[in-house]
Amino acid sequence: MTKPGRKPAWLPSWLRDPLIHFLVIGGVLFAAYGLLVPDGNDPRRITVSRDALINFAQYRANTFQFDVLDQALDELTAAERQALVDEYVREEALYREAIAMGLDQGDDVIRQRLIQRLEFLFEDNNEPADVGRDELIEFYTEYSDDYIEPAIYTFTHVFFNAERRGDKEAREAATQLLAELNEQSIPFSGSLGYGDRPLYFQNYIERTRDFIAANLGQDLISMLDQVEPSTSTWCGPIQSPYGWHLVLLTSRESARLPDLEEIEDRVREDYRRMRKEQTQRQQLDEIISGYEVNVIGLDPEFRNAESVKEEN
Amino acid sequence: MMQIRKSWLLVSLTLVMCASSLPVAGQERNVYWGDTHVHTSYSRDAFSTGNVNTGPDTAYRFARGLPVVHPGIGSRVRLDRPLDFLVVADHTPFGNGAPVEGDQSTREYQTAAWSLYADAAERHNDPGTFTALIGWEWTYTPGGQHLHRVVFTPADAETAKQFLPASPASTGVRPEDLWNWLEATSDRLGIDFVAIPHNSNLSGGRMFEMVDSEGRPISAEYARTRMRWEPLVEVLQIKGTSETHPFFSPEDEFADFELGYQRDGNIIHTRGDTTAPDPADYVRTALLRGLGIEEEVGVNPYKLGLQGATDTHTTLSDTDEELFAGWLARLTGPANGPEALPVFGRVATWNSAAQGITGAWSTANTREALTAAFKRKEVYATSGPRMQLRMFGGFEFEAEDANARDIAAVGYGGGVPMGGDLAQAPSDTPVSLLIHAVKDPVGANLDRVQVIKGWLDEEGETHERIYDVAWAGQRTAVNGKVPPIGSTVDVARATYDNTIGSAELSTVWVDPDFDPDERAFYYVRVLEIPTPRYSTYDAVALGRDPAEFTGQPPAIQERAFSSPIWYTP
Repeated sequence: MTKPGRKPAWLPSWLRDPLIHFLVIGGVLFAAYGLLVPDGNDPRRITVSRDALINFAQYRANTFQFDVLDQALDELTAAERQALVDEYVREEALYREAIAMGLDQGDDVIRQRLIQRLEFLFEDNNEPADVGRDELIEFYTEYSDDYIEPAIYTFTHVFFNAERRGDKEAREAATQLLAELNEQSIPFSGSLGYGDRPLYFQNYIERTRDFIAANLGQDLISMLDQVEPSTSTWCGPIQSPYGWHLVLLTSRESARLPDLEEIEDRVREDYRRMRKEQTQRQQLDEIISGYEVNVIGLDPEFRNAESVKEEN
Repeated sequence: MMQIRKSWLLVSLTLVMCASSLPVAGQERNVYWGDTHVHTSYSRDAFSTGNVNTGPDTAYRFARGLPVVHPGIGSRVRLDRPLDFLVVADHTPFGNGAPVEGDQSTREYQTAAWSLYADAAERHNDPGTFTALIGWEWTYTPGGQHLHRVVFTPADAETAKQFLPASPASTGVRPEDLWNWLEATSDRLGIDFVAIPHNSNLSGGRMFEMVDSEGRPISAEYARTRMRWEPLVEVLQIKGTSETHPFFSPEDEFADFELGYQRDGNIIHTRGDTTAPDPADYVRTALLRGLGIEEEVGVNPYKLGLQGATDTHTTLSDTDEELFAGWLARLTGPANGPEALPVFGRVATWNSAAQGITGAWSTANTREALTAAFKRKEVYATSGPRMQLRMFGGFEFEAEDANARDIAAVGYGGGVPMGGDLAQAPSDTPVSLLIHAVKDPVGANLDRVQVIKGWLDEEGETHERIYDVAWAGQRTAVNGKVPPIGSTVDVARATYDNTIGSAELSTVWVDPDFDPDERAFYYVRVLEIPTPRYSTYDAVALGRDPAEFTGQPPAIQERAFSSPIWYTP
């Protein structure tokens, strides 16, 4: 595993290049400058170019087909075109004014949106290069707990519906039938011929604990853990929230960790995902660590002194 | 390649249709659970309400039962029972928020954003275990009226990347424009689509009109095209129930259920204006209108299957009252009640409902099989609980069929499942319905099963009637209505127990008012016993009085709606 704080070898070298960082930061500054002083050096002049107008119209129409709007622009009447220009100018002027007044400051929606965009900038959505066998094994070993498959059971049951028969009667009927099923060695498929219609399933084939417990309750699961799997020995009666059951448990597989080969796709997907998140986190951490942090006013003793200093 | 895919789909549909007319042996359909309507932070309205960092991957991971971090409250959350299928349906065009750099107004940006959705779906689609259907939301809201559609396709990512998902701006704003786009794209790529209208309750009288978008009476062609692409409606979702309104169903004592944000019987829209309920807003009235239009023009434009979905904007599909993951990220959790809502209209949190999920009777958990189940309307809606509901219609079911060991074999053998059609009653034999409802294995018991019938009489008037057909306990109907079941809800502690109600209700119901010459539809409503509403859990957590503090009923009767079966003379 990569140690935190160390640049991993698989990070593309260009992303580690300080020059790239310089260019990215420079680009951001340039763009910010462009926003504040968008029209040459005169913040009070708004130039409406054809491209800007089409781009604007695209957002208004919520459609992104430059060609279509390019053509549509020519088909507008003079009045319509003027209305569009007026709208553009209105938005641009008010936007600039808002920025100039600092209204983007202290607005949580704008703040979160900018942070989101920055996070997205560092989200690598390209499929990473192939994952090496060794790193995959290492990952699988470290996170093997995540891949343990729960115990599974295969059984059939004969159900006696307590709501329909009454609880006591259902239990008695089950008790009576148990001997018959075992004496006659009634097989798995024979369960269909006895008892009442089950609420959910007649047969449970390779089902997990959770699934069975959700259908038939914890008591039944506990019982299944105690009996020996058999193709001919029925056991019970076992109570569920719905009545009484006779059960033929034919197999029980304990919880197991599948071999890497069985679940390789899933492990690889998880590994890539983790790596992707790690890359992003590291890049964001680098940005954060580029800042000098000065914490003031947290120590109660100096609280007053600090606030005095700030006022000065 | 596309041709092969298309013909394969046709073959599989044919097989399914054959199967439904024969006794089913070994061709078992199972119910699969899913949500067709989930928004991530890439949707503008999700972002501006506090969901800033979760995308399709988070939606799928949560739906598949993996722990994720809640975008609003920051804690780790996990769905205790994973879903079987999911549609991530963010608003198009993707003008806001997808993690793609560049100018959002370019086709390149849109294409790259769309690829993110397609690729995420492909990564998580695991036939047999979990189905990720590729989709989006076509969102047109003139003057606040919701004319929204979720669209999904069974196509894989490679094929889906050959189109850019339609938006009202790219197709035109009329639903007809969307259908034309679906038709053209379907023809070009040989793939299918399902479009599902939702929030008809907020459509301001526009969703199920008597006229088309140009104000002309609905024609046979309009009706056929609409049904080709929109065979279903999202009847239950977080922003309210669209089944019916007490204004239209005054005799229905269960009509007042999670109606969304209302005041004095009027509907309050997301922008704050109000309208009176309109017959075009509700599904039951639409089903009734459909019968009349079919009588006039020969085709029913509103032959709608019923399904449920959340429309959550938290990325996390959850309908559990106790652990509800919320509608809008910032407003999730007990402490973030109505006062904390300066944004996104005036729809206060506790007016929204923890509801909307679909049960689909499908031969397999795959994109193709599930889409086929949606297209034949063999699906049903619930407000959250996963109760199992079967309904078959025929002319020969007998009382003892309700006790059959294998209800499905009897049902498919002697009738049609929900979503199907019956016609020309033999010797004027009345329609009989075979119904089987089982409680959610980990949920509340059932109160009753009702049949809701709508019909068109000889004068062209429509009518509705509700029949209690099976119920728990020893209650006797008074004036044709079974009295309320009572309640075990302890409001102060936000608990209930299953000492009342039944785990299972099954019956064969023969229509006592059947007229072989009248068009009709029948659907089933299953009611649970009362259980605490999510607002009650919130209020108890805050140490406040639930009814007084939240302004909501402390307990609700969760429910399921089957897709209808139609009878045509």
